Amino acid sequence: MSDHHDAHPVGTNFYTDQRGLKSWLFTLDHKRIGMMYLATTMLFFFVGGLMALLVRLELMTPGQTIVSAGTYNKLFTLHGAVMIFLFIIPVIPAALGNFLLPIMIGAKDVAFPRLNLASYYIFIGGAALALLSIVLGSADTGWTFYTPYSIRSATSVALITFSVFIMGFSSILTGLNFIVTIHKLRAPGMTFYKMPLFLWAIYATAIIQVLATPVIGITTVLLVIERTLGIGFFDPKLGGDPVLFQHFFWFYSHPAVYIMILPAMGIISEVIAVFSRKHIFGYKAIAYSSLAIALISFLVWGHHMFVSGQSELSSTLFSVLTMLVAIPTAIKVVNWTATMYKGSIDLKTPMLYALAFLFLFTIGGLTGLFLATLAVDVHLHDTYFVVAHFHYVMMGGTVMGLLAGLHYWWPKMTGRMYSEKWGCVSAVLIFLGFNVTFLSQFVLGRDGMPRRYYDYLPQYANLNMVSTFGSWMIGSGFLIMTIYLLGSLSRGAKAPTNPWGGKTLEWMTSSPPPTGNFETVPHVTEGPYEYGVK
Amino acid sequence: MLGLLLSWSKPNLPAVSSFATNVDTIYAFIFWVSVICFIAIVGTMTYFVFKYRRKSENDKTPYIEGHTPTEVGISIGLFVLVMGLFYWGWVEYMHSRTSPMNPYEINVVGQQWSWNFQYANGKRTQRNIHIPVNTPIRLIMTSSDVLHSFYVPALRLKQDVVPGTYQYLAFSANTPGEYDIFCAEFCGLDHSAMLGKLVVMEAEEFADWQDDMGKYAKTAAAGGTQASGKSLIEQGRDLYSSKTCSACHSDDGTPRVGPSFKDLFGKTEELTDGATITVDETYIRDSIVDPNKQVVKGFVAGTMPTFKGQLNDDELNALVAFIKSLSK
Ligand code: HEC
Ligand SMILES: [Cu+2]
Ligand SMILES: [Cu+2]
Repeated sequence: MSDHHDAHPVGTNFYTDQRGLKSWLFTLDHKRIGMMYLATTMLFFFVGGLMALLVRLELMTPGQTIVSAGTYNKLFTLHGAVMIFLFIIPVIPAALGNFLLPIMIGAKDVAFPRLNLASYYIFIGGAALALLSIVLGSADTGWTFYTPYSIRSATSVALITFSVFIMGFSSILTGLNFIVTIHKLRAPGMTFYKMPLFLWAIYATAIIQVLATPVIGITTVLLVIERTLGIGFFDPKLGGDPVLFQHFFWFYSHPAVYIMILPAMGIISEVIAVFSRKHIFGYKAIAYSSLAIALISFLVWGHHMFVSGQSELSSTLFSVLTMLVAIPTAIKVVNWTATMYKGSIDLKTPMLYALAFLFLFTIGGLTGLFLATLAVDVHLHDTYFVVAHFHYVMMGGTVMGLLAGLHYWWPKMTGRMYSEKWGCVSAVLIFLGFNVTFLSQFVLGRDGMPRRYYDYLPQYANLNMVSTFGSWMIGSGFLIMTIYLLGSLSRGAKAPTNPWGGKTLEWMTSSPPPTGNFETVPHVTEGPYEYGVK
Repeated sequence: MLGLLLSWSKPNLPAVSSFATNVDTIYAFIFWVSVICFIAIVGTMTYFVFKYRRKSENDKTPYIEGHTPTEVGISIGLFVLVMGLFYWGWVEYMHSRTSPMNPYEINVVGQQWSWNFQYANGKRTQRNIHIPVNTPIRLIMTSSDVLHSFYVPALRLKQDVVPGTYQYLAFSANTPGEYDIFCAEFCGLDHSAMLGKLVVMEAEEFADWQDDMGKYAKTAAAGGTQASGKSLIEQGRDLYSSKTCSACHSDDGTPRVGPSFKDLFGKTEELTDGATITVDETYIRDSIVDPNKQVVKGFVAGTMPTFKGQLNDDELNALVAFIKSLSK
């Protein structure tokens, strides 16, 4: 990028430098692209959330409550697919990562700004196809698209899986862009070990994105070919092997779980350090545990298949390897907790979400032990225990991390402060509602209620009712959040450069930052967590 | 509080096999380990939040970068713990995967959206499966359409059924009664209605039930269940001649165009591509519907016609049972 950005008068920022719709649609500025991703993915979060509320409403009582079995099957499929592919995979890397990564390393933009914009439009293209498929009959296979049902289902499975294929490219290109940016564009003095842990997490995530996503791409293409041309890969009727699909699918989708959680872990590292005014405890341990998790994540996919008919030997190996994931994960949790030791802890909204993360993610991780243990998984697999487990990890982990980050960087991204009081109210509502909704599902699953059930036996009725009440609490929490966040855009106080006392580079530039991010190229001499008296 | 935790520490379900009881024990163990870990983390966190709450903007905090021995210690401790867990779960799992000697075998066919059962004497039932108490049972399971999963919470057992293959479950139920059966793998519209009961009966009662005798004579007549009059093996023998298998395969060891079925089941077979396999139900099934996939050494691919589409799952099950009966 040329130097002309530096010439702008002080006081302008990347919103005001250029105006008009075109200046957004054709922007190459990583911050604008980040904001567009944020708006888009949050919109999908809203859509996926509405579907979740409908699913829970249907399950409030046994038998039909509001919709038919066919509609219900589509609802939970879309809830899963929208949340995973349109929200949780892209949201942190593509929205927050895009906005913050270049600033945090002291660069003006990502390495390939045009590619960055292309990723966004590919994502939009994929999302449009997904929405089109919903209109054209939707899908009722579950977000896992297991064969041979997905080959035979009369719904528009081909289109929705094709949209997953398209969005995969967006994910790969973003990952590639980030890897190159981190390697090539760090400001003078910004060594790898001076990088904020959020960037280590984004880096580890990008590696997984680049290496794993092609596999889901190929898998979805095979599925589409099989559905349209009748060439047998996965359907035994056509000479295929249905279990092979599961191997392919999880070879991507397990690492994808870490695409979802690692960036959130990165956010937690930032927020806990800043709001405790402490150097992060065990910087290298946290950084390397991200890489370790990324590596092991490629070797554990078979833990989704303990009862699929895969050989006992495979199940054995996958169980051992899965157990290993516990170690780097626990290291992180312990280090975050230790960071708070003797700190000066400020319970602002981002920190509340970070604490909620610690609480919920610990439960999510520990319940993973039940599922990694072979004999116990035989009982719990495909029950509500699994549903509760991955919601504790994905929502209790990733979404809490996202909300911590969203509130933490909101002043930087929008230039406005939100209402701390309402932030606190909605955080408490969401936290309590979450536990009401999903703790009850652990019990349901432990007592044998299978997942993806439209109807259930009377012994499961009470807890399903409780779980549905919980979902309303979560819903109201998010409603409040939407109101005060959007309200802050017009009524919020102007944000100072560094409202929380952060030490990372994004807090050295104005809120919101100017188009080129910094007036002068920053020289980095200190690490990102230099708090406390030596 | 402790009462609540205690009630969470174990499934609130009948446990009617030794595997089920053992799963509950492991479950409870992991549960208490988790409670301890949770309190250690979240308890410490809560304590810190109260103790170190910010008092003023000028709070002084110490500079602590970390403590490598702690990281290493925790890693090693956890490694030992999770490997122990793995081992325990693995031992029980392998136990459940090992078939007992001379089990009572029942064929299970899943289809959208019901479970079908075929007993040795030729009797069939839908939805409900009847078994004798304290008897080793082996289910030989397949699906005639998409994936399903045969799940009996009271046994803590589930197994996906995969079209085109046989999957197995082995267990022995120790308490008479009726227990829920669910389909646990999503299979379409009425997935949640694909239910049934595992009916565990005293041995004599089961014998009566199976042969439509005693108090079960009437229900059979009323059409509740359906007996073919011929055992599974006899049905298989009939198919063996009617489907012309006997033209190429003998049942007494005499060589014909194809290998004899005598003592075929369980033996180690050499294939033309050099591989060796142990003959099991899935191999026999494959040999019938896809004869050229694995060709026996010394024979020519293409000699045996495929029977794909000409035999349904029930008939395949009968043929397999017949071939098995020719081995000791
Ligand atoms: C035209 C002759 C022919 C007919 C009819 C035929 N087979 Fe075969 N079968 C063969 C030959 C030859 C082989 C060995 C080559 C191979 O493995 O494909 C064979 C192999 C097999 C095997 C594997 C045997 C082994 O030793 O591993 C099984 C099982 C089998 N047939 C079952 C059947 C059944 C059941 C039928 C009737 C439904 C049948 N066959 C009909 C010729 C025949
Ligand atoms: Cu996984
Ligand atoms: Cu099902």
